[in-house]
Amino acid sequence: MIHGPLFGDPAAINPRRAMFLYALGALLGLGLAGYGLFTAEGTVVRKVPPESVALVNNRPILRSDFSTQLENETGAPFSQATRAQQLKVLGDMVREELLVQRGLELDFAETDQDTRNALVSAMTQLAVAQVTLAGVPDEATLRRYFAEHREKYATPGSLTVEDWFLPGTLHADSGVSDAIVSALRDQPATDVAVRYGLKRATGADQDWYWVAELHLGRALFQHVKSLRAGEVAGPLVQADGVHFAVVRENEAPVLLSFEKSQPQVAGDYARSAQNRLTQDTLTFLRNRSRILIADEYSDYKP
Amino acid sequence: MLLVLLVSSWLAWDCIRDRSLQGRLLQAAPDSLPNEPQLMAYALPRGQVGYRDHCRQCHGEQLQGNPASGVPNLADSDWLYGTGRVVEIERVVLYGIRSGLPRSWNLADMPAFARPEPYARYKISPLNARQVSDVTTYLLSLRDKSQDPAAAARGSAVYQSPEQGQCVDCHTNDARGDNGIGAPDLTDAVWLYGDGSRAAIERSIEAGRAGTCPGWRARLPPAQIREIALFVYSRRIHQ
Repeated sequence: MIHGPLFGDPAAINPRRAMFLYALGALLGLGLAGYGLFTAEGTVVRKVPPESVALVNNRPILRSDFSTQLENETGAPFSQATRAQQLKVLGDMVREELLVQRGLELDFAETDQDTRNALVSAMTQLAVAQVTLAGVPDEATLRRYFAEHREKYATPGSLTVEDWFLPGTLHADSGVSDAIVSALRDQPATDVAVRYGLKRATGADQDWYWVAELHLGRALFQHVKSLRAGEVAGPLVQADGVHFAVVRENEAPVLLSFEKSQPQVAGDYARSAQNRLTQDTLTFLRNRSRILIADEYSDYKP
Repeated sequence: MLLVLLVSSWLAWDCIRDRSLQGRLLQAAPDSLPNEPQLMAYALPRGQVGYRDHCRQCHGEQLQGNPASGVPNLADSDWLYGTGRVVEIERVVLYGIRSGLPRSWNLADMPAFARPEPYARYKISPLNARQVSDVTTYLLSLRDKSQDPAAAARGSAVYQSPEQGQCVDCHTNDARGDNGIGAPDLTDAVWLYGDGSRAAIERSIEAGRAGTCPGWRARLPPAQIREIALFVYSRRIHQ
């Protein structure tokens, strides 16, 4: 037994004080170790953390998710929900968690196509989540991407074209085509059509460049796109006859500035980053996996 | 020795108090928190720090947003998703918007009507240049009666059509939008993208819009997410 005062002269040797401090240190260490042990992630706990409304096999159901589901189901703010409604929604969420956990145990991903689709979709979306979380790239990066894909950021351009055609074929030296072109430049197209037997191929509605190209065909569109209002393209021989296109209006695509394109640039940059990330993930998975392909598919390439 | 004991006691008490306040903060119904001065006083300075570290980059120091890149102003009374309640803000901070997280807001995008396939989610026909112009005239006419009435009428027909623009599906009959899916009100003076000019509206219709916001569920502790939500709530204009 050690006798004497606990705190005496600090400069003097005091066995009683030394024992007390040893004991205090040991208790503190044990306390910290216990706290760390019982609060570490994955530790089975008996108390629901404050941010959760329940723990199902240690999987939390967040209060926030609970509130949202309750509001979605009742269509009213959380504060207006009755106790019975709250308990019902809580019961639904616990039930869902139990069934999901059981589904994982039964490895439904192996056999159930819906589960597989959901997992593939979730993995694809994971790339979206990672890119979104990385934040918006700085302006210099976006400007670089913009400069590399300059042609993508433009107005779509619009054309109003009357496409007339003469069924059958036409001798190049007959002079008729020149006469038609000349007449279409100066006279109402409907009068010229009556005189020469022209037929109308497409309407004169204003449309985007890409739609005009679909309607007119690539060859005629290439003729037309550089013409101004009032000019006539043709003759151009196509399967159904000889075509003459009267340009009524031509608003060529205009390249947009970075400032006007910024939301699109940011979106496109994010999508390209997501694609890269998905590809990188697949490459990583392929590299760490052992994939054996049957002999008859030996030409398979990832 | 006494000093060490005093400091230790104070630290321990502060830690216990902090845990207690954080517990109360998390256990309370989010929408009831603005009526809890003690918890708000605890949460707001922390929320400001969280906002500065994780949200300011896009939404700006004063939460003013940026119409050039479609980042909404968080300090006004115009709310794109929900009505600006704490629980709704918290949900956005948790799961984001088109963030890739399964619980994020991701019900609709603005189609790009000048493209061959305007919408990735399901089939919608493109609009032609005249139709885009007419719909824009119609939208401008909702605030400015000097617009060409014939063009506005044609635009209204496209807007309401279930076959063509289908704008009505998201922006509703009266063009006041739907904050259940994040479709903006097109009748007010608040524009998410651009300045509400003809060119800016046409650009939105032609090229489409689909802004994103990250979800912080896996990166930030629940208490910090709630603190950020409360900070944003405290800074918005309430009507």
